[in-house]
Amino acid sequence: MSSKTAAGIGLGFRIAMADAFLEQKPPEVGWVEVHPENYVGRGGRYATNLDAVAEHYPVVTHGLTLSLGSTEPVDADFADEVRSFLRRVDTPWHSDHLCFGGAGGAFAHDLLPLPFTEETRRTAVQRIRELRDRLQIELAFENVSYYAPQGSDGLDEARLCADVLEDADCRILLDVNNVYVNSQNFGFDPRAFIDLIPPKRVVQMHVAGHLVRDDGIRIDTHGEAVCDDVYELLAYALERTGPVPVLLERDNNVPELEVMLAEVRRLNAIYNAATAKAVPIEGRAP
Amino acid sequence: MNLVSYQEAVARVCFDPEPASADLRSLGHEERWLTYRRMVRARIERVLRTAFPKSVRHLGDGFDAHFRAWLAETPPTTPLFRNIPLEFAGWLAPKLDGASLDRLRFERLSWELKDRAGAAPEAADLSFDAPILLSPHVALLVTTHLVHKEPEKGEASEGKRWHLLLCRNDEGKVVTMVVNGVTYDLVTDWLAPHVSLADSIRKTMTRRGETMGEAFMESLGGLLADYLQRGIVLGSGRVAP
Repeated sequence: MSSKTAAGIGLGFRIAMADAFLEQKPPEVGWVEVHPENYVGRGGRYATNLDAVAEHYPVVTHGLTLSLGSTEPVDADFADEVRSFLRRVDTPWHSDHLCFGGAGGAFAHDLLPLPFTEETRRTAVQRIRELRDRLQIELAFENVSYYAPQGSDGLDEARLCADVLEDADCRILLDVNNVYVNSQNFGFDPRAFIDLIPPKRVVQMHVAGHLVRDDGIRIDTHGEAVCDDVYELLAYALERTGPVPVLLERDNNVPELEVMLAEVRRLNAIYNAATAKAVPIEGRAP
Repeated sequence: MNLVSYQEAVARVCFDPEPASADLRSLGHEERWLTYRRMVRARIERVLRTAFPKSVRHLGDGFDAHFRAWLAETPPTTPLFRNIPLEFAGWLAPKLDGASLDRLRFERLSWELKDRAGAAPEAADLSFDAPILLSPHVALLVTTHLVHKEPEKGEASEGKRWHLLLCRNDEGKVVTMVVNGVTYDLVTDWLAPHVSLADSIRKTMTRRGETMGEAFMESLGGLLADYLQRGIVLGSGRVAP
């Protein structure tokens, strides 16, 4: 367990806003999230900024490339580097995406969607277990946004997530924006998705903004403000789960820090109101 | 289609010069997979353009052709996004020559140095009897074309050798300095500190057939003071007892 507790609303710590953030050290931000891939084996500004932010905030790690549904062998050397990093920042858990990142040794650096099948379930469960053993830490997967239909209906993904959670005995980083984006792109009820996820398995949540293309397709860009529907869905999810840490992601079109802090304050208000209504959950993992 | 075949088909759609109809048919929803192809390729292209702005500009349409060929032949394998340009440069360098090659070498080194890991080791006061200790964020490069900056009016852009010293400063920015041949030789020795500062100076002067006069020693003193101030020289390495 981390010596500092991540609670309430966190912010994705990104180089584009690092200087302003470190100067201000805003108290409304409870913790920060970093991508290990941005730091392992890296010096310069990234290393300096990480040391500075870790002095003041709990750090939670969120990976980009372990590809929890990949059929490729785990890159053991890289996983070991990640493990060292996780220890260095004393993260309470580590998360990555339920997706794949490439094939045949090629790496696409995108979150490529998995089909919602029994074979995917088996593959993901095995990989999560293997990585958890190697990383020696609690592991959570994030549900991703996807743009090509993967199942017979939009809730197939939720059923797959629930199965993987139980079979791998792991946690989920529930990305509320991704649930919303997928629900709009594929026509399902996002609340029904959340209802299928066991609340005690939710260790963290994400919210972010997304882009609506001219053709109506929504793309998870992390480049816009969070929309009202996502705020509402977050409140719904928090009422079910109780107080799990929520992260505001912003990776593109990063605005002035004050703009993001206004979103953080709004999230804090939603968080406090929703978690006050939540019924305590027995059996939640620490 | 099993999961392995599915993932291989998606990877081909992303990286092949043209996505195969058979792959798109087997995956279904062609336009959506082409969206993935565009997103994947755009993101990778963007980091190359960020890392190698001068090379991209000078290669013009050639860059696009190289980019397509590279993705088709040896797409990225690194899990670290920032290392994609290093893989691309490794593939592209043997295909270039002249100024294009020098430019790529310069930009590649600058990109690598910007993020190079390694804490500055503890140094002792500068001593002529001990090896000199350089910052781990220093690198040397010789080019035969002027590629580290745009030529000034009347300035030759080829036909000589540019000895470049690159270093990352405290703000994380990579600074490029043009140095003379003697300095280049000295810093080359200092990068592999196995001899004392005094011996490295003697070795360089002998190699260059020059003598250590008063003017040289004064110039060397100025150089060391400047490099100490810039953080290029940290001091002297500790001599083993």
